[in-house]
Amino acid sequence: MKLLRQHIIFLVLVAAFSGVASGRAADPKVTLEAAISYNLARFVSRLSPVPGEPRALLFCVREKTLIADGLRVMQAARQNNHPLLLREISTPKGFYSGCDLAFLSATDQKELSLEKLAITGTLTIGNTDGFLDAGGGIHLLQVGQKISFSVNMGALKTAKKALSSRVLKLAKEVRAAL
Amino acid sequence: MDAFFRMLRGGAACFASLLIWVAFSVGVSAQVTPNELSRLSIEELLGVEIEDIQDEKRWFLSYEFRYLDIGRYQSGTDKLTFDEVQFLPGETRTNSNYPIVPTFIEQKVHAFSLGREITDEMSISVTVPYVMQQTKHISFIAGFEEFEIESSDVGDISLLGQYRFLRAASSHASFGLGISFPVGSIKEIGDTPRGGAGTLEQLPYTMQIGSGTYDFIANLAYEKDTGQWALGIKGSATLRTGKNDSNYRLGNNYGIELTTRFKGWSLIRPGLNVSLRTTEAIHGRDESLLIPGVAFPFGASITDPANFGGEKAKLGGNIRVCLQDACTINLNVRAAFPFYQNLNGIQPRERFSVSTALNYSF
Repeated sequence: MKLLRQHIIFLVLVAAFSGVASGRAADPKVTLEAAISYNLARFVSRLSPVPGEPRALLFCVREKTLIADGLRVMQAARQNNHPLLLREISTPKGFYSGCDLAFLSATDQKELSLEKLAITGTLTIGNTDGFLDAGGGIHLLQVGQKISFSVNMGALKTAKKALSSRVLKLAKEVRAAL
Repeated sequence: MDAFFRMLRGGAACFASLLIWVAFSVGVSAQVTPNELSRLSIEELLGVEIEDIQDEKRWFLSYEFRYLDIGRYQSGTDKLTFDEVQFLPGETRTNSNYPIVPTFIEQKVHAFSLGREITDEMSISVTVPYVMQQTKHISFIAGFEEFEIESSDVGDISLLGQYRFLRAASSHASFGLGISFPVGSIKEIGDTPRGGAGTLEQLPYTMQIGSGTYDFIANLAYEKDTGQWALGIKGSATLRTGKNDSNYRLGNNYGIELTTRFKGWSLIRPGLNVSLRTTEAIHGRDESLLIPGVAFPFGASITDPANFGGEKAKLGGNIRVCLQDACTINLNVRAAFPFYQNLNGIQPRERFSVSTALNYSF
């Protein structure tokens, strides 16, 4: 009983400690999501390229966020050999300004229509529950300690984008276009 | 089992075998920095675990509470009752019965560790333990029919360097080398029957806080992901040098552990392990523990240096709970029960051990 009591006291202290410390910790989950998003974007192409349109795809993300920091690291590492431009956006409406891809946080998603974004040619990437049901294109989901992804072919088609078959084979779920 | 322990005693050979096995089993890296992530393929990224992502340099802090419960007796693999071990007036005194019988021993350790990632591959840590021990005894000696002795103090401080020498998306291997400094006391005293009531005498080996010698610590570990399970193997050894101020040296020990962890859940990771460890007897002896001028100078089994060490096989379980998604704060609870013990001489046997650790990296 004495040992049990000591362990219970210890667990209470742990809970208190984690409450204090968790707010300061960095988030490697976001770092991994940024790496996967950026890598997935490499395999996205336009279905019907317009002559004279820049070859590089425009990847939009909200500024001053951890995901933007992560994407910037990926961009810096690959900037010379990758047809992808990163644009950091200050307001949700900025996502309607011609992005080929957009990473949307839960907060962004509340203020935007995923279907409308697809119609304007934006392939959306997000990590919120029900992202595909809401019309999102690529859903990043945590499985154990790993990040996997599901694809909504309907959103890809609406956004006039294609995703490499090599990548589709790696998806946890590929939801067919209706 | 005996044959295996004989092999284990040849610690160097065991380590060499492990090293060769690891070298043939491994490919690339499990711990990755954000910069390294940018160089991985999409297939490799999908195999990376969130907790394996770390900053370029990182500190880690750990507090661990360990509890070890020892009690009742064994000689070799045979269990003995207290009556079989205790010498009572009228019986024949031999070298296998004792006037004083320690019955139950509790050891509690509060260990604090601070570590630092020096490079992506190398880390260094220092551990400071605070050791608290309590032993219950029975004897026929008047005034000492039942008595307890306690000792507590800061134990031996260890410095350990860990190097990750093989890295793969689904496996990793490392080795560690360290040294334990003889900070812990080997001069703990208490009121024992040896000098009569009210006097303080040198306590037996089990009640001392430190080893009194500079000890080298080594480990070699390998873990491989197989879907939702991770399988691992770890070898470790403690090699002691010279003799301490009380003219003895605790025995070297060599161990090997097989582990499996379930990785299918993000925040809770249960695991099982089987460990085998062999420990040598004490070399030399502390003369102050002897009863002078008698045929059998050891008043209790734990004062005879030959009654130390042996072989133990344990089955253990552990559960690690991440207290946040990134798992930079986690709690690790472990428990182990010996299912085989082959002990040198007559000595109290281990019954179980429990530990709870809180780890924080920043």
